[in-house]
Amino acid sequence: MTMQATSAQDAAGNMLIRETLRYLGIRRADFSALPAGEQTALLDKVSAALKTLAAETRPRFASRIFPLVLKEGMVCFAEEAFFSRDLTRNLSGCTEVCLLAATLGAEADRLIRRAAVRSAAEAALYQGAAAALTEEYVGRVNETLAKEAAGRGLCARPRFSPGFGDCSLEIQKIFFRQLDLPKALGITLTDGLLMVPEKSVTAFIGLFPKGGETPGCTDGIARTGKDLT
Amino acid sequence: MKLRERLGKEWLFFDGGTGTLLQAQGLAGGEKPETWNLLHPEIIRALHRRYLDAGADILITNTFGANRFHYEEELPGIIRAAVSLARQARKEAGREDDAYIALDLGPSGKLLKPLGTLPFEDAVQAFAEIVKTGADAGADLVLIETMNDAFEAKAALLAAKESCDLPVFATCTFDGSGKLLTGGTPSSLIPMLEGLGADAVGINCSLGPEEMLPLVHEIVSLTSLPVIVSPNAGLPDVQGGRTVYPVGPKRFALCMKEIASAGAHVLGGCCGTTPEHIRLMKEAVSPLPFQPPVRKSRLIVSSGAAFAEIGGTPLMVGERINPSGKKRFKQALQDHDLDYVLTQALEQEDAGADILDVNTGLPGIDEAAVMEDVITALQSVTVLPLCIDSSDPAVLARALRVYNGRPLINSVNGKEESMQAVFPLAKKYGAAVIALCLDENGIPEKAEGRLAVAEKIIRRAEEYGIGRSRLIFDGLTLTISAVPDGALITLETVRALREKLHLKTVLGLSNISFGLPQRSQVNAAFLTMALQNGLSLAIMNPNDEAMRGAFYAAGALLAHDRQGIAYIEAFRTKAPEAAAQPPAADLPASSGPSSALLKTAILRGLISAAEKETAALLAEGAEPLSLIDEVFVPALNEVGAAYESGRLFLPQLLMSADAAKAGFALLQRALPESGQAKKGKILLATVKGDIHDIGKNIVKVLLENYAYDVIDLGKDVAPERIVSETLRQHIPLVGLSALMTTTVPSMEETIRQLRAAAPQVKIMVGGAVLTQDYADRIGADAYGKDAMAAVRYAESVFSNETD
Repeated sequence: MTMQATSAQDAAGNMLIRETLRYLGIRRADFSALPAGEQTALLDKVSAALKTLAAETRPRFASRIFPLVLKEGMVCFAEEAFFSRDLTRNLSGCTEVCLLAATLGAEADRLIRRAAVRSAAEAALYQGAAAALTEEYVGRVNETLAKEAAGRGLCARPRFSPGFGDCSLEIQKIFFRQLDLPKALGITLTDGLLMVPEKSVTAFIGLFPKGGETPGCTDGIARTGKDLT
Repeated sequence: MKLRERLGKEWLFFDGGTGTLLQAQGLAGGEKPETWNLLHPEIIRALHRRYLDAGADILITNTFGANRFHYEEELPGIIRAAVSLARQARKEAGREDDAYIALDLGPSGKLLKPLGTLPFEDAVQAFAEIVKTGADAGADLVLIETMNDAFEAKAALLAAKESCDLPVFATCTFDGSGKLLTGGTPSSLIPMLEGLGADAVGINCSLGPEEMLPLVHEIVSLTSLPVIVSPNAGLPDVQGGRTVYPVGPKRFALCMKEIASAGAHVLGGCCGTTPEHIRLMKEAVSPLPFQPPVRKSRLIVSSGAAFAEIGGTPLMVGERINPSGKKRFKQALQDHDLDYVLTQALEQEDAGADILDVNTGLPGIDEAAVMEDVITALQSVTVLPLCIDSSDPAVLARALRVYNGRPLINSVNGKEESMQAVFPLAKKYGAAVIALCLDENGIPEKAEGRLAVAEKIIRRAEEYGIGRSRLIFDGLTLTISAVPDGALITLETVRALREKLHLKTVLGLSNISFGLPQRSQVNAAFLTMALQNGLSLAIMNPNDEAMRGAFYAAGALLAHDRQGIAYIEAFRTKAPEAAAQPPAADLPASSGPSSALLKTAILRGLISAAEKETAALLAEGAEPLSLIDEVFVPALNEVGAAYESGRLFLPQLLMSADAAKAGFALLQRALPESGQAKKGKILLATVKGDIHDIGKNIVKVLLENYAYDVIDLGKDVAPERIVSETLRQHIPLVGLSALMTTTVPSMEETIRQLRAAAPQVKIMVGGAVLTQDYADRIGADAYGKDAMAAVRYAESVFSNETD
């Protein structure tokens, strides 16, 4: 058991390191081409940044599921209705949409700034590591939500964030309205529609019935949390 | 009866939840509840009435989100209607004599600078306008609630205190780990709120009564004020697609009894609670004997996310953020080089400092403005509490206002003029104060004289409403080469202050050894003796190994640090910096320095090797300017070319940049006058509305490597400021960055204004969403796809200039 747990952790750790390197613009083949000494030095630094961030941040999420109606290119749920061709395509066939928001919290921003005081290289490493951690966390939350949906006979589409394709950043405001993000997660939206803390993500996850079954979702399944079960 | 006459003398009960009840009446998920003050006044009035009938003493107006960030010109009407509806309900219920109306202030939904974009004074103004309207409409008190950021809570509390004379209550929202979303804890928050003049403090929302209990104990142990507790009806759960709060009225009442017994004074309910919760709670709690708040004498200073308690285990106050006697630091303040100041802060924090002293006093600079900038910058990278060190009351006033947390002032003294200037500020901003035992007659020679001054200071402080527990007394360190008995008298003073007057003490230690060789030995011995005599705060250089050793060793010996845990933590052999750097042995061994070794060090990103080789070359008599041209720039070009062709990656490029920067700093110091090595001025800024500045910072590091004088205006910079600085500093090249599609328009506007005001200026732009095409369209001269491209463009601009 212990052995398995350790190797599962190793696998997750390796995935985070690989993702951090990817954010730094280093592909796997590029990395392999580096001299052994430089590989080790780089890996040590990436691991150290990941470790500090994981120890000092408190990732958390909020989500809510709504019955969805798509008509004439408009995405409609709750009292919201807006036009987006690309999101409509992503959600086609879906009967529900899950609004998801997640953040590493304000500590991540502070750690990145601290790194920037020490050195530019470290700042880039922390930036990459924090991005990798955010994605990994959102991925895990997504998986949990998809499993819950599966329990209700629904399948999940790949998640889709405001800013993708023709889905404008204005749509962020819907997440802030429906999930009350400042209160729920401490995420705020600037006038320029940027989220603060910076390492925050919002996304739509479309849910569609497996093999034509009709799902039984009523309105607004909400949850928030830190630890995923 | 007035609320103030009852508060802290008997049980008082708030009302319960609003949102859930309004939703039951048809309020939609994304709909703003405050609009119902105008759209459905009868529903709001009836809700208040139900709570009054259930026994609530204090009604909370339906104004949680009523602020300028959610409403426009309709805002005053919504606030006035909210207060008026509560008043009408109170009149209907015949409770005009014993029920009160709390004007509700929720969070703005914006994050304040430096972490976010909302300026502190804008937040203060936004809260002030709500308070003025609400007080005018007849509210009896102000309730600041559900705060999840210390700085915003401060803005709201200051606004309330400055805009009305009503009692002000303040409660924050802690999560299951006992923290605010922004990281604060009861220990960091409550002393700040009490210091700023709240009439009652406490906790609301997020947790149920059971989860809140440990936090209630903590809050009660921290404050002399009445404590407010308003939990949710448990942690929300999803059942059959609906959010359900699991704690029913009976269990809620039972739990609230326990919370009341734990020392709370004002009880209420938050999300999920109903009139029935409040009714049963009141029934259960009212018969309990009321325990009035107990005066506490703990002294805590804090930042937005951490705290330090003074008077228990001695604390180390880092003294390095101070220009006196430090040439490099003076230069940094003159050049507004905040990065250097921040480096000093992090070094001291790494060495174990508990608090950082901040002094920006330097002739010829605007001390208040620099102090504000330094504090803001420090608070964006460190959570250590700061000690605001200035002799100028105007500087203190500005610093105390923008400081996030409960501040510490350094210092007041027994001179009437000093006390009259400092105490009102300390009172308003709730600061702890270091008090020097000297007055108009100078420094008393003997300990008794210094104690007499201390007693005078205590009396005067009390007249301003500042208790003795908020003062920390400086026994005054005099140089032993000038005053042979100086150390003995100081130590005697420290002991007597503690033992006779039960006061907390502080010393600035380093002066003791002035004029002596090997000063740190003397300082360390003196520090040990002072700690033995009961010193609470040691103002010292945390980077001085002898003093740091003495500090931790004395802590273990005096059993402050039981089992020597802090000592072991501080001196356990750490993995050398080699962990972060490839081993220095990577450099070929050689008999002496050579420019080839320096070049290798830069190419491989070896910071300490680059420093060492630069120093060695300079010692041999190498010309700084020729080193730049012959070693630094060629090495950087090589790295840059490798990066551009994909053979090197960003971290390696930046490691080389860091190494070059370290060497370059030595060159700068070796030059007779600063600036001589600089090739020209470039202004950089991340445009208004955009707060992503990592890209801009990378460009800055590289341009500095290439010996440009970079004026960095930071992020979220207004076009007007970019234009005015460009004109004022005669800038030939401006670099702008924007990361988001939503902020590119602001870049375009900046370019438009620059073109109008300074047509000769060249403009380069960069950022994730930009392309060459986009850059052309918004009228930039150049598009930098990465940091090296920005360097190449700068080189071309400035080579043309010199031609």
